[in-house]
Amino acid sequence: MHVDPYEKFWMYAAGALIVLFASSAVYSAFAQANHPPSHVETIDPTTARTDPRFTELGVVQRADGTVEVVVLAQMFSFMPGEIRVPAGRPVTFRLTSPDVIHGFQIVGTNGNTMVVPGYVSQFTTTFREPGEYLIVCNEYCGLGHHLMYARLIVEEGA
Amino acid sequence: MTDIAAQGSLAPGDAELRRSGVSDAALASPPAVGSSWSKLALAHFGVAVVAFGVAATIAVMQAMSRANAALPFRSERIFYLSVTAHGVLMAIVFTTFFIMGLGYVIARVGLRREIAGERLAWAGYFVALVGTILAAAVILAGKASVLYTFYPPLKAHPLFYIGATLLVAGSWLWCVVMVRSYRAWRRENPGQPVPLPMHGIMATVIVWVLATIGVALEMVFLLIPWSLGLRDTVDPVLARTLFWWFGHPLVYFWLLPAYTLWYTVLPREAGGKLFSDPLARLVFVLFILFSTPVGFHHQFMDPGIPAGWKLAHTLSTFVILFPSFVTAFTIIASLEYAGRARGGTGLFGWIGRLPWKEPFFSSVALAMLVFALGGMGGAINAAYGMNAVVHNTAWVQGHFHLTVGTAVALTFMGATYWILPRLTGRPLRLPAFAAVQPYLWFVGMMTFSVVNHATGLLGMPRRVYDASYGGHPAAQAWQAWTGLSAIGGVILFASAMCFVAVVVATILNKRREDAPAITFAEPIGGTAHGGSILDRFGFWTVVAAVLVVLAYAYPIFDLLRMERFGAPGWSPF
Amino acid sequence: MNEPETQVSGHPRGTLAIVALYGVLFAAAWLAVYFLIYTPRGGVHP
Repeated sequence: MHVDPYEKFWMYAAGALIVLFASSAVYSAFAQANHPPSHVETIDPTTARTDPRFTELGVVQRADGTVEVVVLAQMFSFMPGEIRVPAGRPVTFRLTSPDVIHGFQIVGTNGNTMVVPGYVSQFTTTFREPGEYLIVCNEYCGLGHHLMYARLIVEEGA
Repeated sequence: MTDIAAQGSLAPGDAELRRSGVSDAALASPPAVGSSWSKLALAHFGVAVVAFGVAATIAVMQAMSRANAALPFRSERIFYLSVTAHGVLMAIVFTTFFIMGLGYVIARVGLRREIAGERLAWAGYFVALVGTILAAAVILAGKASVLYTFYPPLKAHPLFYIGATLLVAGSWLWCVVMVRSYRAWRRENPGQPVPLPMHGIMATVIVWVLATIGVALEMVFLLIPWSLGLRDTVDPVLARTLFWWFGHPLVYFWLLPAYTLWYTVLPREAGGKLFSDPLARLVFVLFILFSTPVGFHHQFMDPGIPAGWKLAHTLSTFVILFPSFVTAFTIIASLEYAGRARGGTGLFGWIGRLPWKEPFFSSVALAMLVFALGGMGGAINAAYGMNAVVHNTAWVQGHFHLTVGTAVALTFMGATYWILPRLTGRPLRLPAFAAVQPYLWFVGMMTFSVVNHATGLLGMPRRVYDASYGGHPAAQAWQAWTGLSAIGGVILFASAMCFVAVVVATILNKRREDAPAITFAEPIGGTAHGGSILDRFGFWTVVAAVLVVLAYAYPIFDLLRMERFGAPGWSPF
Repeated sequence: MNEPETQVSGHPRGTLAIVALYGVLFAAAWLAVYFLIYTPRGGVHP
């Protein structure tokens, strides 16, 4: 196949761009352990509210110093509606839904996950800036979808 | 050569190409006006334009509702119904019917033989149309406000799923007719290179078949029985996985016909030739291979799918940037050739020489420019962890209105202006509307889309009736932009109505003239030789199927053998 | 088929300039979102 040398040059440049993007994803995953929330754990959605993993909702400080936040996402609220966590320490969120798919997005951060009935979502992140963050449901869940939101309060030195 | 010339009319501009040695056989097209195949194509285009007009009207009301305009029947129920209707009509009905119509035109003219199975083609049309009407009816009745992605456990009326399945089934009959036509041509023309327009349509067909297997499995085994009450629960992650097996190649089902027009009609309409025929074939083959094994990039935030598989699909997604980058060069080089042939000099002088007043040309040129932007956004969406910045925010609708909403839709509108006089013998009416319509679309869409990209980066969610969130400061930052987004929507609506007006006026035009010929671009270096491996669709389909198996078999198998609990349905609308 | 007499010769230098500029903008936009928005918002881990 004859390829014009200018076009051939561009094909190499395009290939280089693609390699740049692909390697950044690989580096981010392997060297920095950055991953989109990909936890694999199932739960019966019809009994989620009384499942031992979700009976205590809200912020739990574990013995090993980690902070865990357990949230139930339902039509049309998050429980709890207000979450207080310390700045500068890793916070692990665990979420499920007893009804339809919801989203859990902490505006201004990379905290963004689907919450799917039948599954437990989990991710860990550290909030450096204290302040009050809006949490929104960003997955359509019915007529009250736009009314589904909560607050995350990140506190200095707790 | 005279008997071929007598079969159809030669376009006025052909004289010059003829002097440079292009044969009459290559120039003449079969008589179209009143023919059975043009009626078939026009029936499809008709449904497409009607769906587009209705969806555009819905869209402007949505845009104004989002800016809190006091529309008389504004409510949450109507809003989410309208988002569903707009998405289904634009993304599934308008596109699919237009593509089927275009396929029939290309099969007839590009292969220079009768379509193999016009009766089956009509059957496909009616099956798809019945499905469309059923689904549209339940959507408009408010019983299927599940959006065009219909993720369970949101549950719609069973006729929504059945209607959508019939639409896909009708399109499968179209696929059969396309493949039969191609194979008949192949038997009659052994050793010849596949005419490039049909190469693009065959790529479209193969991608569509591989894609729709996913959504067919979802419909037949999960959603239809569940919505009919034959099963109590559905696993939402399995359903989403099957949907996005379909949902990403869906965008190439839309894009490949647009690319076919960019490669095989645009260079000629610009007054030039296609810069490289073999590279066009390579591009279509790459899309056959890589359109489908990428779907987890729509599920980055899903629980239940391990990160390793999401990373694997990220890499295959980046590969699919490559054929689009190649397309950018080949098409722009073709336009440069055309512009220089028209007297353009200097590095960029040729740009001004191109026929910017011709609606087909300006539609496609603007569509390509906008797609360049959409592609940048796509590379950000696909970037694994970085997806968290944009997932389910307003950025997403900003993004896809550039890609399907402009690269594809604006190309299809421009192509309608090109094809309508050729199929009907009626000259285009309201030419001033047609000339300005693509520019209006461009301005409206850039306004709408840039605003949504910005509010998305600020965190505004997508698919929301109202984004005030109790007056929270973050939400106040978004509210400032929604008015501007609505203005973009109004401009787009004006453009859409210009398009519909031109089509309606042209169809009603009593004037007749000799229909211009449907002719395709000649390549600069000559057509590829026959027997090229890039023409071997059977082989590439097998390779593509293997890639789909590699991308999906193990993750789906893994999901199926996990202890999972299905979810019952809800209809909160 | 005869090779048509082309009035245009040489390589598409305007095209190369355009796509090169596009490639630079593409990389710049991607890197801008990556380093100015994604990275400062913090890493997310399992």
